[in-house]
Amino acid sequence: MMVAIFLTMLAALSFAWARQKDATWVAAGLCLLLTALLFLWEVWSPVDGFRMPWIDTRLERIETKAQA
Amino acid sequence: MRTLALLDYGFQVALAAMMATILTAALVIQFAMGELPCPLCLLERVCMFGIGLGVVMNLRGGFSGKHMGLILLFAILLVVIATRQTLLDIYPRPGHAYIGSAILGLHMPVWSILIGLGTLFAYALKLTALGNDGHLHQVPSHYFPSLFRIGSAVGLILILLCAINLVAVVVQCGLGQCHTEGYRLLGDPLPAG
Repeated sequence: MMVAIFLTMLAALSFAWARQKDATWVAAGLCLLLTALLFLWEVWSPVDGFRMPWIDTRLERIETKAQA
Repeated sequence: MRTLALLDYGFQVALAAMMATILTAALVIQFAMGELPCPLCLLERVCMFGIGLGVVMNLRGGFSGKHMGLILLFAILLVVIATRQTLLDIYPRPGHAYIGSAILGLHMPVWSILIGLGTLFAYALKLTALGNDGHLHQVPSHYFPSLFRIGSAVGLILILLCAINLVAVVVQCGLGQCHTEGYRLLGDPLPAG
């Protein structure tokens, strides 16, 4: 996936430099979409989903941890 | 009108040159200091290339508000990815800590937030000072030959940097998931599981 992202970005930059507007937009749009998808895939965890419990600051949890 | 356009194109060339400088520094750190980029670090590089792409489109293909929209989209995505990465590593725990060396006390994801926010701030400031870019429709970039040549050269440098990054990603990740333990195609060890 990462290879595809850099490949589409390289294509977009090359097309932009060569003034191929339509091809640039297709490559740039594809690159943007793949980047967003890979980002979501990378940060998703089977245990926590998209949550980040390690920065949980709810008071009752801190108190529970302190008591334990 | 001509002065406004000159300032505007100058701002955009400076923005693209700044992205090219940052991406060159990232490659130097990767190859000279042996620090492999993590997957989110690579996505942040893509966003910086995206900001440069919008500038190249403006300079080479004629100004359009759509190109500016693309620059802002990549800048926002850069801030989102870098913020999430900072929050992932902000509390050190097994398997999670800031990767690589700190530069001036800040690690790469924190720098990426500043770069993304700096881009958004600079664009907001430019829109406030120079207006809605309508003057760029009437004064194409080739009216300023020196600036046009510099901008085109920066575009070529960005293409070269992107090609080097593509090769590096192929060697590091192959066609699978990226890891920071070694270059997959060079037979470096990969994590278990």
